[in-house]
Amino acid sequence: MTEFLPVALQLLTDPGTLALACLATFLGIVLGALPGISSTMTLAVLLPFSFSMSPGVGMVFLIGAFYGSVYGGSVSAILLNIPGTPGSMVTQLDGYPLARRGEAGKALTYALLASTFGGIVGLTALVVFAPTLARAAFAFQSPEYAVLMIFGLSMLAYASPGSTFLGILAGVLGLLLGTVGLDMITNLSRFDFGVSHLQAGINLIPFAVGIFGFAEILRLLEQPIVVEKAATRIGSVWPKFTEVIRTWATAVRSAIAGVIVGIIPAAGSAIAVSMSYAQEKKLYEKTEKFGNGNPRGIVAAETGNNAAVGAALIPLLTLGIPGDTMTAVLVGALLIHGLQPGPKLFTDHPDFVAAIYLALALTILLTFLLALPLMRIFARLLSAPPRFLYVGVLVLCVTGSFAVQNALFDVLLMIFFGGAGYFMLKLGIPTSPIMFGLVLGPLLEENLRRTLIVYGDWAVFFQRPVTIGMLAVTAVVLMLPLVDIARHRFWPSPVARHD
Amino acid sequence: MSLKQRGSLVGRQDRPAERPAVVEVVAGTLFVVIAVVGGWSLLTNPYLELGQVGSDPGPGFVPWLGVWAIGLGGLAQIAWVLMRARAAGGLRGRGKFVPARLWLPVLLIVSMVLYHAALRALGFIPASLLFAVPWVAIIHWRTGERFTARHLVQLPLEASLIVAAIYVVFHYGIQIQFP
Repeated sequence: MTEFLPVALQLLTDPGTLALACLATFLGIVLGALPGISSTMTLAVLLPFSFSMSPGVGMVFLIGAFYGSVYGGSVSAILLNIPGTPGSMVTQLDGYPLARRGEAGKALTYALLASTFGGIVGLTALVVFAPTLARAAFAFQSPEYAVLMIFGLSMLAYASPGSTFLGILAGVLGLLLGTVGLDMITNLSRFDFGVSHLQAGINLIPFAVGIFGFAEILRLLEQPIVVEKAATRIGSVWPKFTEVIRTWATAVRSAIAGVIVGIIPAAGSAIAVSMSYAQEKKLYEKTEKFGNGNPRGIVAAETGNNAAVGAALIPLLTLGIPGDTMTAVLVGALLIHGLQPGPKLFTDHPDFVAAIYLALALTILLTFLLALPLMRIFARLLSAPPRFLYVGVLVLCVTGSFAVQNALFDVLLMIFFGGAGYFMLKLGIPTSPIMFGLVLGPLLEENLRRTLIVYGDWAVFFQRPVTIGMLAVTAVVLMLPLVDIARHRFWPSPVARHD
Repeated sequence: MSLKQRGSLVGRQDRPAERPAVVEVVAGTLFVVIAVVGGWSLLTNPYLELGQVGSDPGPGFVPWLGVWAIGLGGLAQIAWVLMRARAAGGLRGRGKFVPARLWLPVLLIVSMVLYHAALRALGFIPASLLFAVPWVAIIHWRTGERFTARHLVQLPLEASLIVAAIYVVFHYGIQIQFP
């Protein structure tokens, strides 16, 4: 990591980069705090701004927005009892009761301290484990990569909310979308339907903006928009030092749980926070009550949530597998800058990897520094009229999609995928696996065909220990919906049998 | 049978078997339709076979694999839902799909398509204003707030502010040349 220092110095001494990091963190916190705006939507909408930046500065900007939005989610969870992001769904259980007692400031500070600690542990895990895993991944050849992509896609589709079977089908649909355009080996076009723009393939950005931005606004418009009244009395922001120290063991345990869950592709922050919270609840079930303003509950949730952020970057950077939808959008950012995530990133672009470490460290520090003095402002922003936000996001969806290649066709793609994504959600089809398929599909096809060209036949997949192991796990994951169907078919519920 | 399984069966006795929703059949049908369209696109592309050289299965291999997977998967979904419906005594009319709630999202999709067309014809600022002013008003109405004379000025002003801010950031900040 000798490359780290020059990169760090270059980024840290550039006032423009620092200002951009502050702006991204601020925007991330504000957007993450607003109900209905998820971290993924925040990233998708802000992604086009990174085009004009160098890869390193672009990452500082995006990771700032990413991490800021994760903390921002806790602000609305505490002040409105509405989680701003899925990862903050547990924070509200103890955060909101504390806010209702007039101690919102304390709750926000507990969340901030826990976020900072979790973020530092996640960052440490990233710095320690990512290079080791990247070195191990160097032993991978095309058969391992092909199976790894299938494994990752299956896991991501399996873990998506909603029907597992429809999630897997959606993942395959994404894979198909990834094959649209010119084939990289033969230069022959697929699925272009006579539209010349489609020969270049489907750009990730209009797709992500459509699916995670436009589709979300469509969903929010279905019902009357309720403007929630935020808990305006922030009160004292500093809890007693002894009270904070009392939660140290909770923070350590939750950070470890967050890192472990975060590393697993597809597990996501919602699982990390649920695990951390459940673990603490179980440990203190005889001595403490949870769900009525216990700071330990806030600490458990927020530490686990933020530790998972750094950890989720490990499979992304080392194997090229996004851990969740947010990191899938980050893959789009890397690809725009001509960088392919995977072990080669560590040897070919060590300065860029260092920039990511630094971006995360800087953002953790900035969130801590910005959130404390701006707590009251965040509380006021939650009461801002939604028309600003919704129309702003819609115009941003259009301009952001256009800005990718200065092409109006990309705007049309964004509208199409947003509309299609919205109606798919209405049909109960999860849309995030489509994004995973779109990201992993081209890599899967390339490695699968390279394997068959080099090794001659399919037998190679059953002759290597790593591929056998991953295929076995994939088979189990893919069989689970079938097992469920068989269980319902052959062992129906007594009522169904009676009918 | 494990305790957990027995427990879940006992739990189920209290409630009737849930009927699957029509939208679950529609979801399966959608995948079948996509597979048919995809398959038709591959079948009518005479060049794809040229790519099969040596042990390379060619550029049509993965697309065909995907088309078959979602086609058969879609059929399996339809079959599975119909089997459940037969056991439960029919299909439910609706799931998350409530047509009465769809008019505003559909209006927004249509507005966005018109916005896209207007971008080419009128340029960014006029097209964005034409889109933003009515939608600021619609969302204001959607929040249940009243319209007063003040809003005749305030809402267009807010829309102009949003468009101007985005134009400045993209045009002057990151040098995007708008149509």
